[in-house]
Amino acid sequence: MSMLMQLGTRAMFAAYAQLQTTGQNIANASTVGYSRQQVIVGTAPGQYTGSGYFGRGVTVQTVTRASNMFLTEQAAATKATASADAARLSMLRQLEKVFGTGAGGLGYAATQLFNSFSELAAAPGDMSARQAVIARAEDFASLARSNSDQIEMLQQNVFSDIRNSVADVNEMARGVADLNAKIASALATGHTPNDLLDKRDILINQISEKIDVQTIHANDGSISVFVAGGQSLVLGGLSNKLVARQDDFDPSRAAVGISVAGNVTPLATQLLGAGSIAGLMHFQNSDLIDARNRLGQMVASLTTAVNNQQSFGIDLSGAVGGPMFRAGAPMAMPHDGNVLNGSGLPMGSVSLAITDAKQLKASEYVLEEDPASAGQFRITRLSDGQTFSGLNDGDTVDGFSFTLGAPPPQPGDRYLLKPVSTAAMGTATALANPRGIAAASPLMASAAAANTGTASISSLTITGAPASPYGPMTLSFTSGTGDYSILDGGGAVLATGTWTAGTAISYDGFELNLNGVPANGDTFAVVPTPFPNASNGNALAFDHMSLQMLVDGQTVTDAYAETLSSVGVRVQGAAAAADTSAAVASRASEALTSEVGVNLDEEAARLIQYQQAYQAAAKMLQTAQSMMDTLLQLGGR
Amino acid sequence: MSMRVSNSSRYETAISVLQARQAEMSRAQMQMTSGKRVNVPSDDPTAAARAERAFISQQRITAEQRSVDVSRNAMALVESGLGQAGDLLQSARETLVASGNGSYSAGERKALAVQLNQLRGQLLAVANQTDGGGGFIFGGQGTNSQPFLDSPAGVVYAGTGGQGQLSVSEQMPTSVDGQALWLSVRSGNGVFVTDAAATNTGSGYIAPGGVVDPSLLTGGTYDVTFAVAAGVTTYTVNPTGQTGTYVDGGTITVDGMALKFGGAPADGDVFNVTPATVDLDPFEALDRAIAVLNDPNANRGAVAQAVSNGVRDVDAVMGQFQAARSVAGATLSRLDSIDNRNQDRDLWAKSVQSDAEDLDMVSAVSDFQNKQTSYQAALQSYSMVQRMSLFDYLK
Repeated sequence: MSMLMQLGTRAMFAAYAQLQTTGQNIANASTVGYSRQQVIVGTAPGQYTGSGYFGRGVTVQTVTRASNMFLTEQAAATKATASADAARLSMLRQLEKVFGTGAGGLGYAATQLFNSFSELAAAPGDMSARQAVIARAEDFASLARSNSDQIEMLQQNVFSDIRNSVADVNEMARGVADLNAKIASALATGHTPNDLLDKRDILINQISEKIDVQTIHANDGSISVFVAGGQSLVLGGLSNKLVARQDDFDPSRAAVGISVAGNVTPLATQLLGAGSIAGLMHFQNSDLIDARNRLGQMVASLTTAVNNQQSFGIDLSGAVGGPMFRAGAPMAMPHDGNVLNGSGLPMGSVSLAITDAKQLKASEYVLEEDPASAGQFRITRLSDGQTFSGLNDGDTVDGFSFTLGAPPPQPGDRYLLKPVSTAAMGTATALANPRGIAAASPLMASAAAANTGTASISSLTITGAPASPYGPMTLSFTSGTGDYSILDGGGAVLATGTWTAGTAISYDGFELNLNGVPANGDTFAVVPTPFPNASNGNALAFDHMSLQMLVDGQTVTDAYAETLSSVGVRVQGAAAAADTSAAVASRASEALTSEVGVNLDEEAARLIQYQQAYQAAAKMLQTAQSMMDTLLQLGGR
Repeated sequence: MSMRVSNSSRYETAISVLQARQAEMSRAQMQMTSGKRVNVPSDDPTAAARAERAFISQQRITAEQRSVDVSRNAMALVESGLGQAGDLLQSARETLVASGNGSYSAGERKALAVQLNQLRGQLLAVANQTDGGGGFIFGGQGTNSQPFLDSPAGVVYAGTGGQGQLSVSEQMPTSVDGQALWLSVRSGNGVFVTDAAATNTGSGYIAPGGVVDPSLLTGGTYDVTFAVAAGVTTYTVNPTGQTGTYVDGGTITVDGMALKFGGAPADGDVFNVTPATVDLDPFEALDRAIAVLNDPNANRGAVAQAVSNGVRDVDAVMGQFQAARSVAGATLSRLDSIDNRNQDRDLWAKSVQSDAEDLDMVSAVSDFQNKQTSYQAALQSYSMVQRMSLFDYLK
């Protein structure tokens, strides 16, 4: 009888345990990261009798949780990729807003500036037309400045996001290490601490959102977490700290390192893999740098061209025009590891200067000693990896030149060269007085009335500053086949040459183009402009800049349109990548939860199953009881 | 084993699908509200760049069109100014011809001189006409003051030579070279200039003459001296040494030039022939005629010579103005064609921009309805599925 009672009690206990676990599953059906639990029951060893082994019922062995190591890791890895893409996309969407289209864009501001010169050409002495030029120049400068400010704001956001993410990761890594210790000691009891395991899985999954991890399961049940291809973040019960640090070249840019026993090791960006930190780093090092360089390239090219053109013309007072714009100067930033002097500052230095703004590329460069030739330098263009070797002090690359400082760079020194990326920062107008606009050409040409040929002046353009201020000159044709002399005011020959149709006659910074054919003896007067308020020669040249290839083979406005589409393409690509990786991540997480998550219908079915088991066991006890009663009645008779 | 679906992932999936549908709808709605398919460059980067370039083109065309308008205004003023100048010169010519009437007294000639002087004043006003914007239509490449200044030595040019331009690529003049147009007419008949010596006493005069054989022209200076002996007038041409008997209205041919004389030269009267120069101006021409007509002692020969020279010079100036007027007309018609071209380009740029970024409303509306339908279906299926649970059947 007691045997049957024992069997029933054990069965009831097992059924109750199963009901309790089902209840736990139902209660946590929507708890994030909860893994379905299950009671493991087994038959108790049978009792030997002469008639064989009799079962002694059921025993509750342990409670396990559903888990799948492979799917858990896959869910974490796909989530890392998805959050990298999402972080980059969200930054890119903000970057896209920096570059306005249509009337909100820099291309429009530049066009308005050119147009204002066109209006000035119609009335070169008109103060209101001159005022309009100053206003349009200010519009361009302030828009360029505000675009640059927004880009730098994004840079600061990236830095602070990375700093916050790193702090989060460190907090969670410490959590994983603590759980590792607790889990190891709990496992020593022979049972799995299911809730702690769930908690640890959640933390590792959340770390993956920030930075891609690799995990290794140890025999004691602890999980070690590695980042950036083998740097240990969590090792058993110990955790190390990630560090948000400044870039070796540019302190305004973020970099990531790991601190192990007080030593900070930089983590190479390309090794970070995925996670939002990697997405932000990618945005910072590729998208943001490209946008900054393109903006700077446009601003540097246009402002330099405008300032040059100013110096080719004369203002209302007849003086050579001064600069109209001020833009950020090109910079060379020393690497953090460069040789230092006694006061802890970099010993050597390098300076940059723009030599031909039309050739400037939207890129940054690294200057270092040429490994192939001691004493010479090598410059690497970072946008495409192109290298320029065997360079010496003062050499020119892509429209800028570098000059060694005193003292020059030390052995092993490296510099980040920024010919354009700082140009848009602090762009401003340098000309406030409308009288200072050099709308007039310093020279004017006219054909003598007595000329017998058909030649007339087509254009007179200034392409460079003269060696000394211009005096009156005469272009005199000395043959019917285009031989000419340029004479000064006293009739002395300054230059001779032969004109052919379609080519310009150049001398001392001016280019004269003729229509028609000059006859022998024809003369053209080339004289200093007598009335600067009435000459529009240079204003026309400014106006014509709208068609000139000022920005690396493109017009300013085409360069802007290309910038728009380049940022657009990046956003589009990032959006597609984010869509895909989000779908992959959600599929992976679905696969995991299908395996380990709770299905309420299943639990409902189990609930009935265990309830019935419980009822059956209770019936068993009832049967045993009634048997006992029967026996007792027999005894009482 | 069939696939388990956990409840939480079922809800997650349903929610993310609903959110995606909603985002699609709101995007479609934004496109329909703005009427643009491309609202940010990433919607279609290539189209965004094309639209941007087309937009900038329109801005440039607007500015170019303004230049065309300025230039057209100036050229229209030049054209009408030259028309007025032509009318004034025509009046001057008629006055000159009238003053040649031999029966006029010195007083009558003086009245005509006053008339000529007034015409000269009006002509100078035309030459100094402004363009309405502070410039002068005959100011060349610019001037600080009126380009034509009346000085004791005649009218001098204070402007600069050449032509004002409004574009480096197109010919869009804003002014005309006043020096070349007004003050640089070829003198005489264009090849040589005939005139009587101031000391002549007879009534003889020399006509402008003409060229009969260009190949014989030497470009040299000649004089023709008359001698009257016994009622017979003879002439000697220096330096050719040609001599002959003078016939009133007759022609003497010297080195390819036909020199025509009239009236009765006195003994010792001299007529000069010099090469033409490019410095004649209408003011100087009128001034010379006015001076003779104002002179009460001028003899008949001097008056006749002054009238002949005056008419010749006025005709030369009128010829030059006519040519310049037709150039202005041609410029105007070229500006019209630039205008037309600008309008075509503007239209083209607008259509490129519209093609690149505007929304096709018909297909957009139909797309939107599709999205709406699929959103409704998603909502409906969600609400149906979430209602089903085994717990509902456990009573």
